[in-house]
Amino acid sequence: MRGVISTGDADAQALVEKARNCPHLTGQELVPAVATTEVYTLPGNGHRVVLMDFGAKLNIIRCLQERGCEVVVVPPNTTAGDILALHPAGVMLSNGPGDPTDVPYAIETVRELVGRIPIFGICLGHQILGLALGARTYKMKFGHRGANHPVKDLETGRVYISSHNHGFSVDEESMKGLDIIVSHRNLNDGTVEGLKHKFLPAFSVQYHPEASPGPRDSEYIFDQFIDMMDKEWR
Amino acid sequence: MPLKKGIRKVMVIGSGPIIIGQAAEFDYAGTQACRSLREEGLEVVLINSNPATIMTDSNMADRVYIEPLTLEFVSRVIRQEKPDGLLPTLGGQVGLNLALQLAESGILAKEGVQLLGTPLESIKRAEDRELFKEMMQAIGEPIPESVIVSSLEEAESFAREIGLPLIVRPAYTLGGTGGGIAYTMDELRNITARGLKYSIINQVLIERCVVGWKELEYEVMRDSADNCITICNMENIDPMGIHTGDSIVVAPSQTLSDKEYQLLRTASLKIIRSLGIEGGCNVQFALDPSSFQYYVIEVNPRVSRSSALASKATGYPIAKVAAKIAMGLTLDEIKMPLPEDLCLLRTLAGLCGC
Repeated sequence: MRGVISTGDADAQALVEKARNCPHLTGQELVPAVATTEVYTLPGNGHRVVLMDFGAKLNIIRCLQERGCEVVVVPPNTTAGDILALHPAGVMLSNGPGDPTDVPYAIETVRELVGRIPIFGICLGHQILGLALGARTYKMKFGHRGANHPVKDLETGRVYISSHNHGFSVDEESMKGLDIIVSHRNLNDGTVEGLKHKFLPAFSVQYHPEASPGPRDSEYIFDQFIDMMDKEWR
Repeated sequence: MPLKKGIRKVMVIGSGPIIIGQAAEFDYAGTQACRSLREEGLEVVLINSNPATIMTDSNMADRVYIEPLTLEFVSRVIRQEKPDGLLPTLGGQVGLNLALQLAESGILAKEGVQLLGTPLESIKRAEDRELFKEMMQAIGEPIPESVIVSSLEEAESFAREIGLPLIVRPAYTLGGTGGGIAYTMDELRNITARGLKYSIINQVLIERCVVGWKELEYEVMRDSADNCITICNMENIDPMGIHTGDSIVVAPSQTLSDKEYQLLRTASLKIIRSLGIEGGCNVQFALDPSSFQYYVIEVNPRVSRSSALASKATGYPIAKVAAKIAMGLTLDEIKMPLPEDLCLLRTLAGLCGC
């Protein structure tokens, strides 16, 4: 919904006109406005991880660094070839703003990377991975905001309280018949909160395991990514 | 997990008389628990010595015994009623102590009564000072350093190790006679000398002093599947050193950053998990306002006075949920009373994240 809140102009007609002229969320170039335009590297002694920056929260980088990773941050339009040329152990797809269908170049890149290298996505990165694997995304009627959403890890049955900030979601119906499964589910409205490829090393979560703000209950997801890279590296 | 099998009749130990340190909050908790158990179709037998409580109203339990809360009377009711389970964690300290006595006397085993909720082992670990200290050390949670000394030299060497100020508490004196806070080495020597004189066994306990630090508590719940949630946290407006009874407590905390909030939340969950509590628990902390250093001060392995405040402030029925957890349900299975389709893990009013 587009709207206008005014404390000055009281002309209803003019305000409605203004609201009509507001751009829709979908169709905007939001990711390039907030992501890095240059490649930069943060040192570490462990795995080299390429972080595709769509507007990454700094704590994603911190969580990787705490686990010894060397993090190479690249712009959102980096090609699969350029990423593989960096010889990373894994690729991290960051969070970011807007409709995931507005970054078709990133979806294309991820599609090329799947199966060639371990991939882990968070938030927008999760939606991009879903789209790359053939699923669809949709704008939710009620987006998830706040730091108190219960999410169930369907593999273990454990429930974690997690930090959310998303208005789009991966459509579970569209996942049927594909080689991906729902790995996490929101207990409030049952929406998809995580997905995982059945055979290939690629998985993602819709919520924010990196926390800050919010609970740190789900940092184990980063350990799973490290384990996945350990396994693939050998 | 479904309801525990073979349990049709449950006995609840009530709150007993209203005394200092135990007031109407346990009537509140016990009443919620009775309703919650009956909701699950169980027959509830209640024993309470205090007829001036809501829980002893004739419509709260299927049978109400107004009898003294002593081992002898409770044992008689158990023999007569032959309940399948006993729920002691909602009657405050009186209920917990009685449960320990009943278990030790062997009547529970003899009559085949299953103790529901938090296991006795967990209660002992939380309440016994030494066991608690050992466990905190094992999981790496800091508690204020302390030492028992019987000479000035020992006191001085502890002060050199830990730093000042320190709290000096003589052993076995009434009302803490001879104790105090030492800010300088001279004061430490004076107070320790005085304390040793007053103590009939010539011993004083010297403990790190956290006067002036922030005083915080977290209300936490855990189920048998190890799911944990924080209901809310609370902050004392006055710092450590001012007795809670003389201060005001506010839910949620007013002065914590997200990092501090999550630091203590993470610690609370670690503690409730390592204690193995099934139900509610209250964890108290002291937090240095100018660093991220903190100490665990105390853990209550049951619903407490703070639970009543947390319940009212958030709208989350802690005692009701604790009773359902005791019956074997897990947090994701317990439905919110209103609105119907939401489960209880959904927290109300956005209070402090959980």
